[in-house]
Amino acid sequence: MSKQSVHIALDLGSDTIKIAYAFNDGDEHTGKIVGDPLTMTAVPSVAYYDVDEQKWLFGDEVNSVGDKPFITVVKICDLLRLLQPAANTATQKSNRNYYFKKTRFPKFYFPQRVRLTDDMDEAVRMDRTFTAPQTPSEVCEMFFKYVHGVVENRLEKLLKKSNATAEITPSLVYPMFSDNAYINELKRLVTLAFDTKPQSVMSMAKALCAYAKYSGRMAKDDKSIIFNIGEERISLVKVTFSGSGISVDGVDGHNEPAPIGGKDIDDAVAQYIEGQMSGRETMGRPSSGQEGHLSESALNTKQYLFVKDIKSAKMVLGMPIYDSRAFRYGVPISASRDLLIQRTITREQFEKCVGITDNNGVARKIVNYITDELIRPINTDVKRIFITGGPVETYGLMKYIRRFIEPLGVKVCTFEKDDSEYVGVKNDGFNILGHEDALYAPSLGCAVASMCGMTIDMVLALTYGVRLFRVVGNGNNVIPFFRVLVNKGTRIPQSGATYYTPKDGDKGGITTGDDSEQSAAMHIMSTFYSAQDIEHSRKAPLITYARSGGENLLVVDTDNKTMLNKLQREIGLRVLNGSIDNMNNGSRAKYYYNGKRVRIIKEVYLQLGVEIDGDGYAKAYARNDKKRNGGEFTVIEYLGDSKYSGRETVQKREIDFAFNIETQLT
Amino acid sequence: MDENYKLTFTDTAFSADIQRSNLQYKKKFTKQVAEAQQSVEALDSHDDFHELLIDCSHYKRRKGKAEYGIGVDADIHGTGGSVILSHQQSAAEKFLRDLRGFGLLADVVGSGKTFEAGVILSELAVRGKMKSLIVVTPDQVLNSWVDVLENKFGMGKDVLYKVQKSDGEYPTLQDVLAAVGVSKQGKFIRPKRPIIVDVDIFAQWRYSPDFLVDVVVVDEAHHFSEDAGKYAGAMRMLSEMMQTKKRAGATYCLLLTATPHSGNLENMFRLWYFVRCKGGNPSDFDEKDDSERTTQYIEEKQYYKDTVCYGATNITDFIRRVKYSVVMERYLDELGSYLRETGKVSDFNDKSPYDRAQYIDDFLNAAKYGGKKVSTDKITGLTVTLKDDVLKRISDAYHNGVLRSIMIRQPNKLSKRKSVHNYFFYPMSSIPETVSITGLNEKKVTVDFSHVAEGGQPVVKVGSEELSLIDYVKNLRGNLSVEQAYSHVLNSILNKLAASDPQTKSIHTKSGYITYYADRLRNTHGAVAKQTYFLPVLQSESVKDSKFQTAVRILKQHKDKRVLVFFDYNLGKSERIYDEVCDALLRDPELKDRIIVGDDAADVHAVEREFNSEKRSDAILIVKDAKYTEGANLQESSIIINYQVTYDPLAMDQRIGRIFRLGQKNDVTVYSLADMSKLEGFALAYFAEIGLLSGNTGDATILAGSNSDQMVALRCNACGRVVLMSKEAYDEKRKKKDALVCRAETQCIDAYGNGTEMCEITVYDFKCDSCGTVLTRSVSDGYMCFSNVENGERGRMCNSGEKGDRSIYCRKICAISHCKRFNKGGHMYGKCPALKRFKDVSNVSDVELMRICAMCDNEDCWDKCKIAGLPKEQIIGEAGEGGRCSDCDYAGCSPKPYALEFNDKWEADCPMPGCSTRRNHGKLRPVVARTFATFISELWKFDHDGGEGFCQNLGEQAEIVTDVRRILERDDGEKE
Repeated sequence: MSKQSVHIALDLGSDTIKIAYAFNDGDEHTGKIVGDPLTMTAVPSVAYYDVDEQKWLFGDEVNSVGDKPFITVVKICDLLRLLQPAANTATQKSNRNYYFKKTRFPKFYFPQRVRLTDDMDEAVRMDRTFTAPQTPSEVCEMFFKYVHGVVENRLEKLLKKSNATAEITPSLVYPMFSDNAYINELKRLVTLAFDTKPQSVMSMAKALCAYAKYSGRMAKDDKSIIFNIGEERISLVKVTFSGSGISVDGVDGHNEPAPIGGKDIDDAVAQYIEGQMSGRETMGRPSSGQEGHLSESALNTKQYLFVKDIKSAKMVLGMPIYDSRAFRYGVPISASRDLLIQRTITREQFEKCVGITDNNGVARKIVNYITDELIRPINTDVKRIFITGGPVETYGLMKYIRRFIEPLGVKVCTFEKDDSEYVGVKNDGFNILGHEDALYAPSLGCAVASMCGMTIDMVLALTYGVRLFRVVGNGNNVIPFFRVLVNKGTRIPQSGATYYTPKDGDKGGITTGDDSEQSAAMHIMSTFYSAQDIEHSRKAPLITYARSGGENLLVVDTDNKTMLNKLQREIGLRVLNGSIDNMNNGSRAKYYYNGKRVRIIKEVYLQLGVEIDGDGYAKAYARNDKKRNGGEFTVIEYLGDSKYSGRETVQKREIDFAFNIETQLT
Repeated sequence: MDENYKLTFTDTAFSADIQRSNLQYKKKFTKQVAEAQQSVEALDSHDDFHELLIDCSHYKRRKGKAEYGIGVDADIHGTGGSVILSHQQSAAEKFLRDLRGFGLLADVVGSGKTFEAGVILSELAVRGKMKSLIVVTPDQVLNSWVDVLENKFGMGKDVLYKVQKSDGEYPTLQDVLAAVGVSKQGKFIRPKRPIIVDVDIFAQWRYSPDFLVDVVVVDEAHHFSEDAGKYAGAMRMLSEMMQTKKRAGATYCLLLTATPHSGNLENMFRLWYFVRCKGGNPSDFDEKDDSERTTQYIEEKQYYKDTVCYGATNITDFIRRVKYSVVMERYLDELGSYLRETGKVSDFNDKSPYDRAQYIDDFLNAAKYGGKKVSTDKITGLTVTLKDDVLKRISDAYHNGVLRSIMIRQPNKLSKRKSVHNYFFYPMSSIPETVSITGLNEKKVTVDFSHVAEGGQPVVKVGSEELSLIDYVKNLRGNLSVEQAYSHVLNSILNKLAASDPQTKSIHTKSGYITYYADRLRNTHGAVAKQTYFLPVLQSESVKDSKFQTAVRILKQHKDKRVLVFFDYNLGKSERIYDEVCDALLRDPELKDRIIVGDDAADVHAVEREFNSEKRSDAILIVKDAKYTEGANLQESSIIINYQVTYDPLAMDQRIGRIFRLGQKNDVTVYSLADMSKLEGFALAYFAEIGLLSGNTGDATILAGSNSDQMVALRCNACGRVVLMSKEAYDEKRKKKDALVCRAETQCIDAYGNGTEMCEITVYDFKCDSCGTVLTRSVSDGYMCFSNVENGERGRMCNSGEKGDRSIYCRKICAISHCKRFNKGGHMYGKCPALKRFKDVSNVSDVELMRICAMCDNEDCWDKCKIAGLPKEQIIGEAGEGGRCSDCDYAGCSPKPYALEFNDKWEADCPMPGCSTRRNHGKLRPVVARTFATFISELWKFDHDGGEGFCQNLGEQAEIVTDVRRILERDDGEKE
C-alpha cells in the first residue's frame, strides 16, 4: 500500500473549522473534509461539557446531547480568543492565565443580549462561566485531536479507491489581526494533534490570495480589495497580482474592521422568527389580545438548537438545491416552547429580515462599509473587489451589494464558482459544493499553497511615520512635521520587520531630559502618502508644506484641528499612538527604572517605531534607543507617595519607556 | 320565637358541639325547653325515616330470589351475620333521616359505600318508595354493582338491566325503555326493570319529561362537578330527571363519592348546588358563562364561596383563611401581645391579609402563645391549647361546614390498617466502620456500620448494649417524640457520614439534603417513623444491588402471600429497571415459581384472574406497565413493594389503592425502597411527612391535590429555575414590583439589567373525558406525542406558531420512525438516511433532515413519505390530498400521527382508536393536573443553585400539605 502525501489546511472559524485537502498523484485533487457527508458543511468547532458524565464532546458529537441544556456549549474560537490582545496588559495577562491554567469556560448565550466580555475575570465575576476539570488549553488540545481523528478517518475513506494511505501534512490559516501568542498556540495545537509541525502558516489574507491565484480569478496587475465577512466582523485586504506573484497590501487598512458579520444575520432572523411567534396560541390559554394570554418566551438552555436551525436555514436558502421539492415551501426553523414551533422562512422573508427588501439593517451596514472603503482616494485604482466568507452564501446579499457597488465602476466578485460548474457533481462528501466554495476559499488556498510550495509576499499599503520637529530660521521657529519611517509599497519579509526613528538632524520627541517625568507629546502615524509624494508632489493643495534643509516637510500641527481634519481627509493621516491632542498624556512616554516610575534628570534617547509583521500588521512602539544611549549615565529620581525622591545615577540604556498606544487597530 | 333561642352563624356555627355547649351553659334549661324537646321526639316518631326498618344484623351473605326491588325476605335478611358494619348502618340512617334520601354519601375510600347504598335501597324498597331504580356508574365498576345488588342484597340474578357500550354503539334511553318495558302511572312512565347504566351512555341520553325513576344512584359522583365534557352532560340529564322526580314527590337520589373534591373547593360547587337546590335548574349545568345562569345559581355560588368556603378556592387557602379568621376573632389579644413582644406590629399592619398568614403561623407555633392552655377536653380531660383550639375550629369548619352541609361523611373508621415501611438507601463512596455522634440526651454514642455490607442494619452501641437505630430511638428518646428523636439522630449520623466521605458532594448533589431529610422525619407520623430504615450502601456496589437484596428478603419473608411489585413508569428507558429486576427474581429458585409478569402485552383481566386465583396465593406480580396501577382489582394481595418511588403523589396513591380497598381481608403492608441521592428519596420523605402512604384519612387525593390545584408554575428563562406558587400568591406578587424577579444567578441579573422576571408557563394537561388518555407537558420539553408511549420514543408535538392556529401535530420524523416500512421487517428498513440521523441524534433539526432527504438517491421512498415539505402538511395534509401519515396503513403508531384541532375552549377530539371511531367520541379537555409532579421533577433538574432551592421548596410544600393532613385527621365527626 502506497503512501499519499496529503496537504491539509485548517481554518478555524467561530462556528466551524473548515478543513480542505490537496494532493497530487499525477492529477491535482482538492476538496473538503467533514464528519458526516450528508449533514455537514464543515466540522463544528464547538465543545460541550456533559456535566452529568463529566466529559467533553466535540464537533458533531455535540449533536448527541439529547435534551440536556446547551448552556455548556463552548466555541473553541472563544477559548483561543483569550490569547488575543486585550484592552490592557493586565487583562491580557489574566486572560492568558485563564487559558493555560484555570478551568473556567464561557457559557453559551444567544441571542447576543448577554455578550461575552473581553475580560475573562469580569465574565467569572458575572457568573457567565462554568467550571470543568480541564483548562481551556487542554480542551483545545482535545478538540484538535478530535479533528485529527476526523481527518484520518475521512482520508482513509477518500484514499480507499487508490489503495493508498495518507501521510498528512497539516497547514494552518489564522484570522487577520491575530497576535503571535494566538498563532503560536494554534501551531502548538496542530503539532500536538497531527504529530508534525504545520507546513504553511498563513493569514486569511494570504490564503485567499493563494486561492485567487490557484483558481485563476485575477488578471495581471489587477488591484483588488478582498472583503472578508466573518461571523463577527468584516475586514479587508488589498491585493495586487503581478506576473511574478501576488502582493498583498498590509492589512492595516484605513477602514477599521467593523463588528458586522454572520452573527448579525442570525440575530436578524431570530428576531424575525420571534416576532412572528409572539401572537401564537399557547396551549390551554386564551388567544393573543385576550386577558390571560401567555406569550411563553424562549428558554435559554435550548437556544443553541435555535441558532443551529437559523444557520442551516441561511445556508440552504443560498443553495441551488433550494428550488427542489425538499424546500419548496421554505426552510424550516424550529423554536422550542411548550410545543416545537415549526416556522418556515422563504427567500422573500429572509431578504426582508436581513434588510435587503427595505434597504436597511445588516445588509445596508455591510454595503456602507464596502462603499466607505472604495471611495477613499487610495483606492481609486481598485476596479474589482472580492467578497468572501460564510455570509457570501447568504441568499440575496451579493445581488444587493452589487446593486450599490457596481455603479461605482467596481466589479463585485466572489470566489464562488458558477453554479453550472456543479451540475452533475455528485456529493461524495469530499466535493466542495456550490454553496460552500466561498467558505472554503481560505483553507483550500492554504492547502494548495502548501502543496505547491507557494509563497506570497506582503507589500505595505500605508506609509508609517512619526511626528517630529525641526528648528528653522533663526531658531525661534519650530516646525512640527511628519517623518516617514517606512514607505508604502515596501515589501515586507515573511518574518516581518521593524522601522524606527530617523535622521540625526530631527529634533524633538526622540530625546528627553532635564527634570522631566515624561516625554514631550509624540505621535506615530500612518498615511497613504509616500515620502515621494511629500517631496515631489502637491497633489493635495490644501495641505501645508515647509521647506527646510532642502527637504520638503509635511507640516503636522496637532493643535490645529482644521489642518488635522484636512490631513485625515486628503492623505488619510491617522495617529497610531496616544491622542492627537498634545495635552493628552496618552501621547507622552513615561519613564521607568526596574519597573518603578522615575524622573529623568539628564537627557535620554528614545526610539519610536513600527513593528510590522509578515502580514503587514503594524504596531507602533516607543523604546530605549540603547545604541545611542550607549554606556552613558543619567540621574533619576523615584516616584514614591506622589513625590520624586531618592536620586540615583543609572545607565541611560536601562531606562524603560511606557508609551500609551491604545488607539491602534485591533 | 324567643330571642334567647336564636342562633347566629359565626365560625362556630358548624360545630354542633360548640352550639350545644352554648345552649348548655349559657341558656337555662327551662320547662318550656323540656316540653319542646318532648314535642320534637314525638314528632320524630312520625318520621318514616327516623329508624331503619330492617335490622342490619340480619343482612347476611346469601343469594336471594329475583324480584323487583330489594324486599324484606327471611331468606335474605334472616337472622345474625355481620355483613353491615356499624358505620355503614349509621351512614344509611343519617342519609335517610337527615338528608331525606337525597344527597351525597361520601364516606372515605374502602368504607363500603356500595353496601351503604344497598341498605338505603333496601329501606326505600320496604317502604314502597322504590318502584323504579336506575344506577349510573362508570363502566369499570358496573359489574361490581350488579354483583352487590343482585347477589348480596337479594335483587336476584339478571334482574338489573345492564346498559353498556356494544361495538362502540350507545343505546338511547328510548332503546332501553323499549327493551325493559314501561309502566304508566298518570303522566309518568316508569321502567319496569331496574336499570344499571354506564355513565358514558347516560350522559348521551336525551331527557324525556315523563320519564320517572323513583330512586337514582350515581357512583363516583364527584365527576359530575366538572363544568364541561360528558359528566357535565350527565349532570344536566340528572337535573332534568330531578324536575320530574320533584313533581312526582320521589326525590330519592344517592350520589356516591369518596373524594367530593381533590383539594379544589371551587370544583365541588356544582355538586353542592345540585344537592342544596334539589337538582337545581337543568340549564345551569350547561356549558356557559356564569352570567348566563339563573339568579339562584349565582346567589348560591356567592354564598358557597364567601360563607361556606370563607372565600377560598382550595383547601390550603381555606385553612389559611379560617385560621386567620379564628385567630382574629377569638385570640386577637394574644396575637396583639405576640406581635408587640416580637416587634412585628407595624410589619403585620402593613401586610395584606395574605401575607399575614405567616405571622399567624409563627404566633401559633410560639410555645408561649400556641401552647397556651385555653380549656380542658371534657371527654378526655386533656389540655386544649390555643393552637389545638384553632386547628379544631378549622377542622370543624371544613368537615362540618363544607362537607357535611351536603353529604354524609363519617370519620374514617376502616377496620383494616396500613403498615408503612420506608427504606432509605444512602449511597457513599466508602462506609466507615463506625461513627461517633452526639446522640439522644446529648450523650456520645457509636454507630456501627460494620454489618451493613452483608445486608445488616446500622447498630447503635450504648455502653455494652447494641441497639438497632429505631430501638435506640424508641428506648432512649426521653421527653422527645419518636419522630423528634429519630430526626435528631438521623441528622447527626448524616452529618458525620457526609463529613467522612470525600465523594459526598458528587453523590448527594442537593445541598441542604441533610436538613431536608431530618425535617421530614421530624414531622412524620410516629407509626411510620418507627418503621423507617436507614441503610448506608457502598456506591460501588450500587443502591440497585442493595435494593434487590432488600426486596428479595421482603418477598421471602412473605413467602405465602401475594405481593405486588411496582416501579417508576415515568422514568426514561435507561432508568427502567423492571426487566432487569424481573429477570433476576426469575433466577432465584425460591421465587421463580411465584412470579407473574404484568406487562403491556398482557391482558389486565387475565393477569388479575391469575393473580387472584386460589392456587396462586403466593404470587408475586411484577408490574411492568402503568396500566396495572389504575383500575385493576388486586386486593387479594395485601402487600406492596414500591421498588421505585415515583414523584407523582397521585400515581403513588393509585398503587396503594390496588389493595387498600373494600374486599381487603387483611391489614395492608407497604414497603418503599428509595435512593436518598435521587428524586425518589426526596419524594418518599415528602410522602412520609404528608402521610400520603400511611394516612387513614381516605383523603389521599386531597393531600396529593393540595400542592397541585390552583398552582401557577413560573420559570426563569435565563437560568431555567422553576417555582410553583398558589394562584393567589401569584396574583399578590404580580402587583408588587420585583416580587417575581429571579436573581438566582448573575446571568439572570445580566439578562435584563436587574434580574429576569419569571414568566408563567402553561402547565395544562389535556385529558380525554372518555378514555382518560392524557397529553402531558414537561416544563422544559413541552408536550410530548402520546403515540407509542410505551416504547419511550416520544416525539415533541408541534405547531405552526401562526396566530390563531390551534392545531398541533406529531413531528413528521417521529411518525416516520414508527412507520412499519422503515422498521424491522419493512422493505425500507435501514435505507433511510434521515431516519438513521434521527435515531442517532434525537434533537436533529428539520432542515438538516430535509437536506438529507433531498440529497438521498433512494428511489424506493415514496414521494409522500419524504421529509420534504411542511411537516404538518405531510402528516395531516389538505383534504383530499391523500397519502398523508395519518391515513397511511403503514403508520405503526397508535394513534397515528394526527393533528389535534383544538377549539376555542381548548378541546379537541380524542384521536385514540377507541375514541375516534365511536359515534360520540371523547374529547381532550384541559385540566390543571400533575402540576406538583411536574414541579418537583423540574425543580430536581435545576441544580445551578447546588440544589438548595430544591430542598427548601419541597420542604415548604411538605409543610403546607402537612397542615392539610392535620386538619383532615382531626375530624371528630359530626356532633349531634
